[in-house]
Amino acid sequence: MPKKRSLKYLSIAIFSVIGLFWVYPFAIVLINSMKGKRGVFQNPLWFTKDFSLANFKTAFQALDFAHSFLNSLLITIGSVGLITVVSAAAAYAISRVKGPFSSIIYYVCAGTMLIPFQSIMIPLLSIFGKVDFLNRTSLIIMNTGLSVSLSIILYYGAFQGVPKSLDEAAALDGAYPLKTFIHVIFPAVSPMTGTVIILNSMKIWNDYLLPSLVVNKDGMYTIPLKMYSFFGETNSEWQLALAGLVLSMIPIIALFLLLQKQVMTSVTEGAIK
Amino acid sequence: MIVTSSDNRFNKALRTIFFMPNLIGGILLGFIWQFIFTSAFKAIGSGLHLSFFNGWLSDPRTGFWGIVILFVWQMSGYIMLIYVSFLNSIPQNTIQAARLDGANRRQILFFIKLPQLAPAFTISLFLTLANSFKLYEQNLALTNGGPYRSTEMISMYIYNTAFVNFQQGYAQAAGIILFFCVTLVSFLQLALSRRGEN
Repeated sequence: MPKKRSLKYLSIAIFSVIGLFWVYPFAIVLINSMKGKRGVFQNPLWFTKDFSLANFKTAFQALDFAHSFLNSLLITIGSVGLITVVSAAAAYAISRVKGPFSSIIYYVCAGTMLIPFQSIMIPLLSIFGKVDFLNRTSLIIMNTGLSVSLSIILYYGAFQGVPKSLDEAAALDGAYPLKTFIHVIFPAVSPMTGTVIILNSMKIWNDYLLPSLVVNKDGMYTIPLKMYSFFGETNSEWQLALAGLVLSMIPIIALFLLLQKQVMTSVTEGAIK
Repeated sequence: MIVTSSDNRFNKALRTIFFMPNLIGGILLGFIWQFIFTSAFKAIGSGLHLSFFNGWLSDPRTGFWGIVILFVWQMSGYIMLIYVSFLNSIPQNTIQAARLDGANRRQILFFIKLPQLAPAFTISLFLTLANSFKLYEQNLALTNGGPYRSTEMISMYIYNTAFVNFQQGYAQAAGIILFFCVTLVSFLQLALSRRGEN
């Protein structure tokens, strides 16, 4: 078997090299965020002698990190919570009540998924702007509106897999429909709830375009917004900008490493459905 | 990419690494690559005495390829996961049956695995197309449309017309055209791929 073995080592070597192309951009950002201005200029590819962690402190203050982090967290949790409740309830209704109305809702949801956000962004913004309702609350509402269609379709698939006899059994035991939904059916699809939460959180946490139009004001900045304006301020000071980048990436990468397996299955599931 | 389907520790680590860029928002990715294309490429270029690496983002053509590279870097981990999940769902006994019939590894790959992967191709193509039409943040953070608006993509064009030049009606018209383009391309692609699958 020597031939097979050498083939295996060869493929490991090749893929390690390809993997390096994926790791190195992150590494280079991390390396240069721990330097002085001169070090970045002299050799951006590797460590130089002027090692310090002072950039992180400056970037942390300039990004107003604690505050923007809380804003991002508030918007993400608010939107995802609302999306989960609304879409689960809607999908339950259309999966149990058969009729033309249910299938119309289902196809409307499937159809709206095709519409790019840029096609509806201008009227959406001008309507919300006319009634002077552009703040974190309206951002949560918009996020919900934009994300429910995919979530409803995902939940619909999951509810179809829950046998109707379960509903009937709960009804026989004296549970009214809302109670059946909350205590019996909703817990039965908790893997799908995980998927819906993860997919929407990733999208909303990283979103820039919509927040930049809605909450681009003092005190409401999310992390991507703040990062963008901070980057503009530090144009010639790469080490500061990169320290800011590292800070902004830490929360999401940390969370990913914790929930790795769940995130990966959720993402593929969301794509295939 | 197809090789990474078998489960061992090395492959799992690779999958995590490839997937990483997909977690991070377009703005941050754009900035990371702006640093690479300006500072790191300059350092490589002067180290190797090659002018090839100079000023990638200040040239319209290479600026465009910069966005392409960034997009590939971001999406490939995601697309790879889709292929992996399809590969894993191919029943083992089909492969064993083929092996009993005397098929070698290459034949198994081309005649057994690839045909069963056809739906995965459809999905990946669909996702990549849809996402590239919506590309905005990477565009903004990497080149901001420059030099001379040469790398301005459709989404950015709509944004700039509406909120920088304040021609909202005109921008909305562009938005509607974008919608028709996306719909048309998606349906065409789905129809063609479905035919290819059979």
